[in-house]
Amino acid sequence: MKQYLIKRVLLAAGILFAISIITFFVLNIIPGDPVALMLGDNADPQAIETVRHNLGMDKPLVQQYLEWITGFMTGNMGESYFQHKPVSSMLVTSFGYTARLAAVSYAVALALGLSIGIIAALNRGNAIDHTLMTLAVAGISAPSFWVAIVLQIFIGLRFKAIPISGLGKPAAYLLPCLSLGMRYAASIARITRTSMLEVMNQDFIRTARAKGLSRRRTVMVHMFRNALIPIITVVGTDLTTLFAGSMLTESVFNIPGMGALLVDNITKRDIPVVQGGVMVVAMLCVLIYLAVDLLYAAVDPNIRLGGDR
Amino acid sequence: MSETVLSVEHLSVAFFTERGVLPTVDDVSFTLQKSKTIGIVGESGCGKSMTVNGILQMVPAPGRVTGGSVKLGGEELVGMPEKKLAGKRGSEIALIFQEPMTSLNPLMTCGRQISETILAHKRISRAEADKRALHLIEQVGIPMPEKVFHSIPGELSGGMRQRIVIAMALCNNPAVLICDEPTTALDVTVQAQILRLINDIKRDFGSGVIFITHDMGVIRQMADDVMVMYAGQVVEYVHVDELFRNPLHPYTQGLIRCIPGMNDSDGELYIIEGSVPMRNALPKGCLFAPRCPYATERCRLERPGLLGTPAHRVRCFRNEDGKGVEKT
Repeated sequence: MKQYLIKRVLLAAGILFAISIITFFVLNIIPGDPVALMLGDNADPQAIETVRHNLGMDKPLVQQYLEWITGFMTGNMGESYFQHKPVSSMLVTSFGYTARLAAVSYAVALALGLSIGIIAALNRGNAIDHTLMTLAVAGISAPSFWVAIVLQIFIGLRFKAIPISGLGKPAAYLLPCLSLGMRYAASIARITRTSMLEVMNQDFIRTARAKGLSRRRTVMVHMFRNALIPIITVVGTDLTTLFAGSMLTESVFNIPGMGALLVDNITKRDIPVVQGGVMVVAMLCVLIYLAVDLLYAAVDPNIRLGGDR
Repeated sequence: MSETVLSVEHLSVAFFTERGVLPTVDDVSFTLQKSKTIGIVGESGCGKSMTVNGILQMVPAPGRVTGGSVKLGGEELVGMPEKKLAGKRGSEIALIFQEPMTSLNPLMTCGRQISETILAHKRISRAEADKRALHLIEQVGIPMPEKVFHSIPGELSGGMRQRIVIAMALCNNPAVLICDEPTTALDVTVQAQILRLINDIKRDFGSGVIFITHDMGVIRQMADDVMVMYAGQVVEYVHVDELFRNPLHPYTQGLIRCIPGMNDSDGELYIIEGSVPMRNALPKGCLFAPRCPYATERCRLERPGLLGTPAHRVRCFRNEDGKGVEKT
């Protein structure tokens, strides 16, 4: 297990290194000069040259990369070209919004999705199952920004206590978290149902019943835990997309999160901000996948033992 | 000393499918005494396992018990509420399954799987239940019980897992122990050990055992009375010695001739031609008639009841007079 962990951490470091190189060079070779954007169309070439020199953009790319990466490792992610603020403080603010939105939405999604999936599986084939699964398909198919607008119109405009923008008050979480959470709840519900159904037909569930265990214990201890692995996989992927910022939902609700920050600064060619943002999101993804792997091993001792299942 | 622990009367199970009602167990009756073993034999698809499901009230949908009665210690199980049934299963009536590889939860330690069975039926502390589970693991002949207690099934061999399943079945001293082909998935040496273990249990715990198998050799070692099933019906019901000495039903005769080494002739393995009929295409007359070497016109048109003497029941017109039919 220890060896496995070391291997995973080294792999994660390698992946991050590769991502840092790719984002850096891609951002620096895409067309569009931030300095030209900064100074406007009729700028004097001499002035452009001076600004480029001041920003260190006239150095060779490899040197720029090395300076940036050493800075990054010591916590200095550089300064925004346009806002003249440290990138790290901008990221902290934006990520704060995204993280709070993601955490609350996903808590809603998990609570709804797991219970709907389990209830549907236990009622396989009857009206309850059909109703819940129809809802789930609708939840997956409806784009979350559309759900967001619908919620704003039908709930936000009717109840003045529920704000339709920002995340200032606790009540403001309601609409964005519902619109984001519903989509994820639907996919969790579907995978939970499928996975539960697969487990339900296994011999050891018949054993649990023949042992005289209560239905509750059979479902929660024997079925659910065995159904968890595919659910964890889905949760991991969901979380990575959530933490990268849900651009559309953020913009509908006017929340200055990661999605908004990245999109804004990509169009402005504010390279240090984008680089920093991409690196932070990449680090989070790598961490989440590492956590998912560790969770697998925690749930299924067969994986810990390196045995087959 | 003949205390009845389980009596099954006219038990019938049917499946309600789109293709119609398929009778799976048809009018099965027997009584089981304390410390006795009743063997149920028959080919795959004869309704052996469904009889067990019917006894435990665990027939999977779309099937259900359609009639008859199952009395466990005088209490009727048919129609008993599920909650009360759960209290009986695993304590008064326990089941050992065919597949030790899949009948244990792969994620839970063996010790926990045993102790949770105890805890489901007794109000004792977790620590006490664990202690008792450990003792049971030792009792079923597992070396290093502490280590096995903390092992998950994936770490154990098939024979070890089957011992765990047996320990689990024993943990509340069941009056009735049902063994559904407990050794089919095991290799021969392990099979012999498990069979001996089940016989020891019968002696030490005084449970009545229902032993299901398709292996006539195993039946001979294990059973007191034998019930031969064919297509959901009991075709012969008699003491094991008599069964081998004087099998009356052509199907039983065929099964016995199928045992390797029991062959009288040239050493070639005997097979019963054909297969068990599909439940949606049952013959009009005797269910075995299409495969029976002695079938007459009457056999094809009329279905025989269980005939013969109370000590030796047989579902065959050739035995209508109650006397044995000479072997051919």
